[in-house]
Amino acid sequence: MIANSALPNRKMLTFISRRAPYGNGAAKAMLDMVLSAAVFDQQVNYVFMDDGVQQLRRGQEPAAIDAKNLSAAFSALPLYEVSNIFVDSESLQRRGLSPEQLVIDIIVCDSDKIAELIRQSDAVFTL
Amino acid sequence: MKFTIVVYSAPSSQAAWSAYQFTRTALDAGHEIYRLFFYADGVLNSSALSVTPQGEFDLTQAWQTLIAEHELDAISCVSSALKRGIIDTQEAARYERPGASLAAGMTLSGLGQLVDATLASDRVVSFGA
Amino acid sequence: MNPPLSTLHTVNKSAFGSDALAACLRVARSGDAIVLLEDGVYNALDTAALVGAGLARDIVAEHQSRAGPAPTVDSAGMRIYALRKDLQARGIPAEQLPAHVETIAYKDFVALVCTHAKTVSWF
Repeated sequence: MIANSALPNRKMLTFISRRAPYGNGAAKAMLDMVLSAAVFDQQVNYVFMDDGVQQLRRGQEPAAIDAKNLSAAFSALPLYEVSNIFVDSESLQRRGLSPEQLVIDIIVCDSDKIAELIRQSDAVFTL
Repeated sequence: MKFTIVVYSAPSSQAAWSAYQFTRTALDAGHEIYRLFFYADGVLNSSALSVTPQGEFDLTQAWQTLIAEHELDAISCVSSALKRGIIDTQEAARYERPGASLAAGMTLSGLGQLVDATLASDRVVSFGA
Repeated sequence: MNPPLSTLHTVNKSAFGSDALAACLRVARSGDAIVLLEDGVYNALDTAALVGAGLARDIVAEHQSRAGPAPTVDSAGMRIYALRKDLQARGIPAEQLPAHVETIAYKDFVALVCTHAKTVSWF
């Protein structure tokens, strides 16, 4: 990081994860962005929407396809002080998932909340 | 205004061309590009080894020209790049690979550079596929 | 001009093969703007797609609160733009587009990014 006292050192960044895990690298790439923003002490919102909610499904055994378990990393998010983690209720509902079937305790929200997070954020990343 | 441009997609997607077109147009309009950040498949835009068939637009070359002309800060995410065979001479030596493949004007660095760019820029514009 | 906290959304996929437009419309709000680019410009032809979930909800809410004239897409307070180069490349004549879609050049896209507080890309 380049130290420059004239710059703001903290922004609110929202990351909207919209892809299922394992089929491609998008979900992992988004997780890495979230962790990186957290390490650099940014105010992070992590939102799961559309197929992104499949990342949270319990019982994943990606070793079967020689992939690393992404959902295991989510339980480490509190260590990075990432606690504003949201899942879109409509995306869950359309995929027949209930909050009890998810790997972590997470804030179930509606699209108005996601719209509000976007409005409050300095920058928004989707992947 | 100060822009940071994030490119998630390979040159085979139009999104990479759109990012290039947007960057060029922003520069023409007198804006500053604080940083180009190539992430995930986007790092393939920084390959020195791609060969474009004659008659097709050579996007990787176009990026290199634009970066040189405007002395842009262009970063390819190192973890994305290594996985996709985009390596500089230092990484080639470290991992004992037969050669380097990172295009001129591009630098390998970490995601911290994206966080820094987000803090330093007025606008972040992302292009993905 | 645009409200200071308004967002510019970009969509670069056709709604027939991707949920990018649907996701955008669910979280875009009155005062925001949408730029259609790449394969996203196909959505410009389909008013029904644009009047999908997000826009329709806003329109209905606004209509009920005002009890005014019949709602239109414009009354959602969301501007919709399509990049001219992408329309041209795909053989979509500007005159075939519905009135609520404005065609723009790349320099206008850059200007829109400046006049909105942030840009969110849906792909």
